[in-house]
Order: sequence, then C-alpha cells, then structure tokens
Amino acid sequence: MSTPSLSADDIFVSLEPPPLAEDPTLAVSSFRNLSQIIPQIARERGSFMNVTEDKLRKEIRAASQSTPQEENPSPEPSSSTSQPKQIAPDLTQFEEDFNNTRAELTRLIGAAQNEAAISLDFVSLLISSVRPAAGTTSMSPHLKSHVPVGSLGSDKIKPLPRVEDPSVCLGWKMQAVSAASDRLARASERLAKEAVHEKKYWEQVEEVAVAGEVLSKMRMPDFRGMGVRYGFVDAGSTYKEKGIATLRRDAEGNLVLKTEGEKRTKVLSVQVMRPLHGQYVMTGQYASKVNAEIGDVKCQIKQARDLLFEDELFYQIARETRILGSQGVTLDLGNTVMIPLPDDLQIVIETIDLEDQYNSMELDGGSDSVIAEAISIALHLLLCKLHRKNLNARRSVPLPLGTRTNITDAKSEILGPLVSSLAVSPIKDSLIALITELKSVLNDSNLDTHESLYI
Amino acid sequence: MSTITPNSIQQSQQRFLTINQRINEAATTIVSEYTAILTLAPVADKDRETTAAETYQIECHATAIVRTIEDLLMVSRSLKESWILGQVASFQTNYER
Repeated sequence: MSTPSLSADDIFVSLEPPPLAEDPTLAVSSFRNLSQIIPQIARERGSFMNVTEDKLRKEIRAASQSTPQEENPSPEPSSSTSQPKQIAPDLTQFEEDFNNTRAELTRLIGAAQNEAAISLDFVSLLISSVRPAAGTTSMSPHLKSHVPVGSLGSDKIKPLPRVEDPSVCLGWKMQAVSAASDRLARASERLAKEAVHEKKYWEQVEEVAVAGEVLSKMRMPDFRGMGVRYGFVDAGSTYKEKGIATLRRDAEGNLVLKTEGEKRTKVLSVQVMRPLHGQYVMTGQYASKVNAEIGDVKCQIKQARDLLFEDELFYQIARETRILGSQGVTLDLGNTVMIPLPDDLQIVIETIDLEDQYNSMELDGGSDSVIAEAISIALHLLLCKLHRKNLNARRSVPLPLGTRTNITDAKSEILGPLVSSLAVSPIKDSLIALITELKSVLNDSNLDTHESLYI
Repeated sequence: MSTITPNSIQQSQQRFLTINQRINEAATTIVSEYTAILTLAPVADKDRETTAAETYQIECHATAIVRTIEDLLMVSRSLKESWILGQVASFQTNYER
C-alpha cells in the first residue's frame, strides 16, 4: 500500500480496514501513518468537500460487486479453519489501533483548529487596520491583549518592470576598471618618487656612516629607522643625556637629524673680572667656539656633539660648586658660577646662547682674554679626564660582593684642580711677601740670627 | 665593518632567505591580484547587483596591489638598513670571499 517505488497515482487507498489476518504489522503501520494517508486521499479525490458519504457507499458497493468474482481467493478455504482462533486477539488489536488512530486524529484536528485560529487572527488584525470594528470582533483575546489594534497594514506593490540594460553594467565595469588603472598609475608615480627619495636618504645615511659615526637601529614607538649615537656614553660619560639622534627623512627625501629633547643652543663662556673703581669689570672673556651654521647632517652631528659636551661640562661645574662652597664658589641664578680668587680676581663661568657667541667675540680682545681661554680649555680637558676616569672605573674588575667600601665624599674633579692651581700662586706670593717682610724686620732689628732664612 | 664570524654568516644567510621569501610572496600576490581584476572585468550578462559588487572587488584588488608594492619598498628599506649596519654581507664581500 505504501510501497515507495510506486508513484502516487498508482496507489489506490482502500477505505476498508486493512485485512486483519494476513499482515497485522502492515495494517498497523498504515493506520499509524494517518498524516501521510490524508494528503494522499486529498491528491486522489480532491478536496474533502467533494467526498460525500453517498459517493463512498456507491464505490464500496461497486467494488464489492466486482471483487468477489475476480478475486475469489483460493486461500479462503484453507484459512477458514484457523480464522476463528485468531479473530479474538485480532479484535483487541484492532480496537487498540482504532483508539490510537482516533487519538491521533483528534490531535491533528486540534492542530488544524489552532492553525485556523491563527490564520483568523492574522486576517482579523489585517482587517482591523482598515475597519477596526469588523476586525476586533473576530480577534482572539490573547491577540487583543498583546498587539494593538490596527498595527498591521498592507499595501499593494507594483513591481517595476525589470529590464537589464547591459550598457549600465558595461558602464560600471568601465568605470571600475579605469578607476583601478588610474589608481595604479598614481600609485606607481608616487612610489617612483618615493623610491627616489629613499635613494637620496640612504645616500646621505651612507655618507654619515662613512664619516665614522656610530649608527644603530632605532625602534621607538613613533619612529622606526636609523639612529646615530653622537654622545659620550662609550667614552665614559655618565650624563643623563645619552646623545642619540634619529635620522629621519622629510617629504623631499632629505636627511633630518632629530636629537632627543629640545635642540641645545648653549655654550660655555668664561669671563675674568677685576675690580676697577670699586666695581668688578670684565677684563677678558672667552666663549667656546661652536659652529652655529646649519650645514649638512655631518655638520649637524658635530654641532650636536659639541653642544652636548658644553652642556655636560656646565652641568658638572654647577654640580661641583656645592663641594667648593667653602672656598666661596657660588652658583647664581642657576646659570652663573662665580669663583672668587685671591688678588681680587674673579672668574665667572656661565652659559650663553650660541647666537650671542658672535656678539661676545668683540669682547674677546680684552687684556685677560688669554687667561679666560686657557681656563676654558682647561675645563674641557678636565671633563675629558673625568670621562677617562669613569671609563677606567667601569672597565676595572668589580670588587667582590659584600666588600665594605667607605663611600668618600664627592670629589671635585673639574673645578677643584682649576681653583687650586689658580689660587696657589697668589697665596704662595702673599706667603713669600709675608715671610720676606718678617725677615727684613728681623734683619733690621739686628737680632743675632744664627740661621739665615733662605727662600 | 665587523669581522664575519660563522655565526654572522648564518645570520646573514637567514636574513637573505627571509628577504627573498618576502619578495617572492609579494610578486605572487601582485600577479594573483592582477589576475583577479582581469577575471572580474568581463560584463558577461551579469545583473546589476553582481556588477556593483564586482566593481568594489576590482577596487579592492587594485588597492591590494598598491599595498604590496609599498611592502616591497619596506623590504628594500630594511635591506639597506642591514647593509649600512653590516648585518648582510655586501656584494663586494661575497665577491672577495
């Protein structure tokens, strides 16, 4: 009955209950599949509206008239003996199946009813937007309580006649392809320029490298590329500024040196002051000579290095004024160091702007400018010496752990030697003068001096 | 330039391989993107929606080509960087060896 290989038209559903005795399993399975049988009936006989009891009766009658003659079954006589025995269990089986089917049918009817109710609700809601009164009457209480009346609308849409115009697609494609080609052409132009700039940049970097500067890779958050180390860290400097600059490339491919922090502009200036009419007057000055012109990158690196050295030198000097405070060395305004010396000589060390350096050159011709220059050179050399000392300390084998060292007071390495060497000779002179005076007094007094005083 | 130890030769070869690989990848990408543009170019009775989507895809592929070439520029930059720092044996050094 439900052989899958046969098409739907070949199968004719019998309205009679299936044969009980022959194959109960088949019968049961056919009854269980009520949901499959109903669509099949609908396919064979059309709508249930057309299926009437009379028609079915007629059909059954016609069938019963024809079948007995055609299919007068031969197995009937053989089964006649066994049938009475089987009929009792088959009847209970049949009753059970019937009940099951009835329950199934009830369930399906319930589902259909539910679906019909939902459809009714849908239609009612749709109508309620046009005629609220008519729609509300047929709406279910659940829908009424949950959805506002008239909230579903409908309208007719006139679909536009779709005509695919191939020229539109062609135009779009043309546009896209030409835009892509434009883009590639522009990019190639830009990248060619970029390549030329890169070449220019790297040539300059190579010049810097050939000049013997120490280059390194820089991996900073805002910059990735080459950097140059111009500082004195490797020479033994312990200054906070390490002297690392980045070699950046500007839009034109030029190499731009960018030092960390602001660009330094200060150089060291040494002034010698002597009293004149009760006031100190500058009698000689010397400022470090640093090339202030902005030349190529090599020049800029050299300038940055010189200025860093000046910066560190003044930092060290200013730091050592504290140690030499007992000798009257003072630090005024944070940028002027006053060193009083015997014989009313005073040395002022300060930082001046690089631009003022040329203005102050006019004053270099003072009588004491030689002294000022010598002092300036001495200071620079002393800083070099300090670097060397640091380097040696860094190179030396460290003391074993746990060694107790007496932390000595900070020693003045730059100002100390300068001040002492400048102060010694006047002090010595004054001492000799004192002793000579004493000697002459003693000689004049004609005291018997057993031992002569030789100086 | 620093003395070339066996270790630095190894490193140099490793860098060489990496750079070669990057160049090859970029070349493959450029060709495949260009092929994609050509594949998308025909109109071939496609409807408007498909055409519009393909227009955008062409744009994307063109941008990808540009990006890949920019990447190549970065490769050349890193190569130069390595040369300057003596991390890659220059042609001359190779020749001398």
